[in-house]
Amino acid sequence: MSIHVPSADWFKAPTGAERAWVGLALLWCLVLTVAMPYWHFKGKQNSTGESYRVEPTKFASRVEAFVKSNKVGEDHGIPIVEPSPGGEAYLQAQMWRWHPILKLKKGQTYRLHVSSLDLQHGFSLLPVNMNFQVLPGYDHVLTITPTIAGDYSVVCNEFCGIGHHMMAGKIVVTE
Amino acid sequence: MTVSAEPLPVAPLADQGASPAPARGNHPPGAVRTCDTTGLPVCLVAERFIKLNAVFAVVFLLLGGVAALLIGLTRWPRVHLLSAEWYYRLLTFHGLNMLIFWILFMEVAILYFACTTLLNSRLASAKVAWASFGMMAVGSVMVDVAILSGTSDVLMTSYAPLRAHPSFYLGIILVAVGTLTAVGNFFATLYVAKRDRTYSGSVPLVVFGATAAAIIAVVTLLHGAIVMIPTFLWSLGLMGAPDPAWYRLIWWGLGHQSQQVNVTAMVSVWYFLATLTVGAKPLNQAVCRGAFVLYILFINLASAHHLLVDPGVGAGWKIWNTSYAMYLAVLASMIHGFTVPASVEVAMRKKGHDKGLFGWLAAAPWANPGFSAFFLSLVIFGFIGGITGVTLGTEQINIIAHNTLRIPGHFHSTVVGGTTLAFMGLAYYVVPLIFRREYYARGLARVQPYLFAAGIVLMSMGMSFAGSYGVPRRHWDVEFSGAQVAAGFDATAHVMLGLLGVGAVLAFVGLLVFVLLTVAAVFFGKKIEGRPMPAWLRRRRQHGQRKRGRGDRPARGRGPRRPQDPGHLRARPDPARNVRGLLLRQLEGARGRLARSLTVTGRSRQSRKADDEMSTAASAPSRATETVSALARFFSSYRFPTTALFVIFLYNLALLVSIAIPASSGPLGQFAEEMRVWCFGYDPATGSYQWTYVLMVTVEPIVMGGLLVTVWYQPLKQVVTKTPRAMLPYAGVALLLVSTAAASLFEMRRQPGAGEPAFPAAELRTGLEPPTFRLTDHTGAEIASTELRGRVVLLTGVYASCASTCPMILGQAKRAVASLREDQRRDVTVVAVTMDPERDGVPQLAAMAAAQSVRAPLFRLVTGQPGDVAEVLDRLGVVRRKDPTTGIIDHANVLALVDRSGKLAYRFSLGDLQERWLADALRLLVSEPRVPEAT
Repeated sequence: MSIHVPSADWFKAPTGAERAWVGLALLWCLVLTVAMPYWHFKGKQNSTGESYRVEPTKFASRVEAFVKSNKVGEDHGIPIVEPSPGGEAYLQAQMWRWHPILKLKKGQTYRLHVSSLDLQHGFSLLPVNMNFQVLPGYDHVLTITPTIAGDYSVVCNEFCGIGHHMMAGKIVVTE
Repeated sequence: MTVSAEPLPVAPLADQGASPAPARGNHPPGAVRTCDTTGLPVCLVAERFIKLNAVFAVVFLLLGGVAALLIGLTRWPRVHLLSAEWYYRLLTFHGLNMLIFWILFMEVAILYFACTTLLNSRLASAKVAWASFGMMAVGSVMVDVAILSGTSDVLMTSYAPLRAHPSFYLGIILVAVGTLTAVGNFFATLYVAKRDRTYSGSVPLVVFGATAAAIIAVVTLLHGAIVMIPTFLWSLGLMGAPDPAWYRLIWWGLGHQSQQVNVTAMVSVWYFLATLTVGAKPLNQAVCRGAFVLYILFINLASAHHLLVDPGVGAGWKIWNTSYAMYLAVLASMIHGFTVPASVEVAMRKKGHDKGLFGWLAAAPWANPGFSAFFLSLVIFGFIGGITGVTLGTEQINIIAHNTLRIPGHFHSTVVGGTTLAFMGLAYYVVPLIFRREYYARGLARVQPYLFAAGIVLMSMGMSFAGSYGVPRRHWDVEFSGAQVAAGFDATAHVMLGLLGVGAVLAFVGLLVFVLLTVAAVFFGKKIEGRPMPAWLRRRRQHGQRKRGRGDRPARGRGPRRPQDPGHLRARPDPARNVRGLLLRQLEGARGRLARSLTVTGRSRQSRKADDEMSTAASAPSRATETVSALARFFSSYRFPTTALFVIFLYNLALLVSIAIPASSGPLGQFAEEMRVWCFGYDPATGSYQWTYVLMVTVEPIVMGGLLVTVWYQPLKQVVTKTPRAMLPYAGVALLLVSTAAASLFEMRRQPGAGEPAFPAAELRTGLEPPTFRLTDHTGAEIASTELRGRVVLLTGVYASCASTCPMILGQAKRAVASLREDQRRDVTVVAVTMDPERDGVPQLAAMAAAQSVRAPLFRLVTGQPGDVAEVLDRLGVVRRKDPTTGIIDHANVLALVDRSGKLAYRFSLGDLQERWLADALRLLVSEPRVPEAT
């Protein structure tokens, strides 16, 4: 019984069905252990985790420089910015907005720098449902290539205070 | 058909054949009682603390439950009950009361029980137990007050720099220290029991599991101290804010591991309840205990899966910790997921419920809430919680799941459907055995686990599916009302959120029934001192069985007792009948009349005959069963471990060899170099290794090997001593596997970028006008854009005092140009414009050119009047900003290519892929024909 002191010779290797199960389970775990790293390199769908420390004020000034030189319009008072294809794009999270609205070209690759000026935020791209953590003090660089044109929402999915549910932004992908 | 009575263990403390000398307790006189039901000794001091902690646990469960109902009704879009403020406040409250307080108090009760009653020992110290309880109680009340007063709306994770009131952090620290003190008391009791020889031999399995939980708890709570103490000091204004990435890393050492404490405690409760309700006995103690050890070893590393989409930690770290540690911890759960139900099966079959594959399950005491809660917990934890957990912990899937409702969908089925439900089942025994009170409304108690389980499953499903549409967790309004930019979800997500709401209500009703019944029993229940607890199953006379009084000796050996059949798992399958039987048993509840009448009338002679024919047919070995048994043979014999051990050996050998091969020895050497960089964190520049990497990479296979040898000791020993030659083919298979893997890696390395997107020359090409300029290069010569017409020009921006990216930009340009043929190179000019014309004169640029070993005429580092330079850079889109104090320039990394016709053809950035594309683009542009000069 599991509540009683076991007999002295309890240390026995498993037998029969139990041993087969341990083997199968172990094998399955090994398959998973290999599958995940394999797909990281083969699938190339994951971020390399590229990130740099950055002072929030410094990041804000980079974003402003980026907005100033690449602004192409405005929507609800938020600048719409078109980064050069293959170049750097910036997205700044703060309580409770995403700044600016990005206009990207389908099939072009961008290095998207995301960081926060205040609390932790969550970058959630909808409706494709891709999610990344955004931390103040860290420039999270995501190499992205939009493949489908259309309007995407960026919402915050890390709690950031009472206005958390109002924090929505936009990325537009054009042909 | 018989209904199994529940056997309560009245056996002596040791299994037969265990301790030769009868164990004696170490209790002072008058400090122990003997349980009237189980015959186990109960330390009266420990009993007081078990009661205290259990009562507090249930109070917090109720508080957390009320909050759960309110937030569940808020996430149900149709109802949307609370204001945003109270939603986040009660969400914080719910998380801490349920996940921390209810579970920690209950776990302390379990620890006190396991180390005293099951070891026949006294509790090491009543004073320490009081101190621990005091700290935990004060701390938890402090936290609740801090939250409800509205000063600490930070959610359970309180991610810095989100700041709560200092009393919030202090309360958590107190709870953690209090729990740690209780854990210390537990270890002291283990020591006292061992010293006083209150038992002999190894501790019982449940105590072993509790010890594993306690060890993990120590590691967990240390993480808690490391992260919470600085955060507390910060909230007082005595320290700077903790780094957010550091906070997350350490916090999850607390947050995830504490869930593993729960899992480990829950598995111990499974074993305990399986024993109490059906008399189950673990098949193999070594396997069960080994699985607990796996939890201790690997669960901490697996916390890394919370940071899979975080900045601040690299991909290698994430992959390593989640792909290796997590699956070994998963292995432990998979083992328990087999051994626990298997032990129930064996116990039930021994009792004579031996029909078909699932006869034992159908005949299980489903009307005993202790059993149903335990078994439902096992199923929900294993099938919903476990599978979603492993899925979400995968790097790829985590991207589409992180911080969505899929995450709470997962952990509500582990912590609530698993741990909480198991603890509820435990309470159905703790109240009669420790509080010695009878439950009222026992019929309701029998239904309660089903109600609660159904609610939780519904809610988890609602959450998971809503989350798969991207609905965030911890979010007040999925309509994003008030947002500057519109956002929202489609109707399906709303339906799923409705399902969440309905499930939450149902689960809350189940929880309320449990709390009310338990509180009523504890305070007003009929005392059952001096007599055994009433059995949960109603006994009844049937099939000529003699009438049994309450509290009769449990039914060990009732029914036709059979010799233990090693082949019991291969009993004749008869799924149709068994599934029907299982369903009917569920329907019939305790009384069984409905089901019995259905089975009797339903099973007319004819159908019985058909059933018999079917079972005969099924007993013939089919191809499927042959495959299964071949697989079973492979895995249970020496074959699998031999192969695996050789794989491990060869893998380690390959790693060692890779250290020895010098990088200069051709392609193989380069391959070895890359292996070193990848596996050992080797830095080719300094020749230094990252020793943590080396340790992890080499020790892991050895641990794995040890595991294999432990489990397959017998067959391995046999084959090594008797027929070592039989191992050769499997060594060959291993060699084949490893060399195939190595060869494919080598092959991958030889074709860099194989599988990467090819350079999309046409799509990327632009026809923009490049900037025109007339500037001075680093040799002092003038350079004008018009002179470069007809050539391929690489334009970029750098500055002389740049320490980081400018050398990388020039390096990338150098390598790209170097990949051209000599004659092609003659048509190329690289123009690097300074971003710092105020400081970069000709001498500075000349020094930079020398330092980077680039030479004119191929490379021209140019400067000029600040206004002229700025115009060129702006036209190129080189965004930059100079820090006036340090002079450091933040800038974009742009490498633009101008084609022979003078148009801006391509723009690239830094990076491997960008570099390859840059080289491709250069080759393409340089091979284009010169355009005749326009006249």
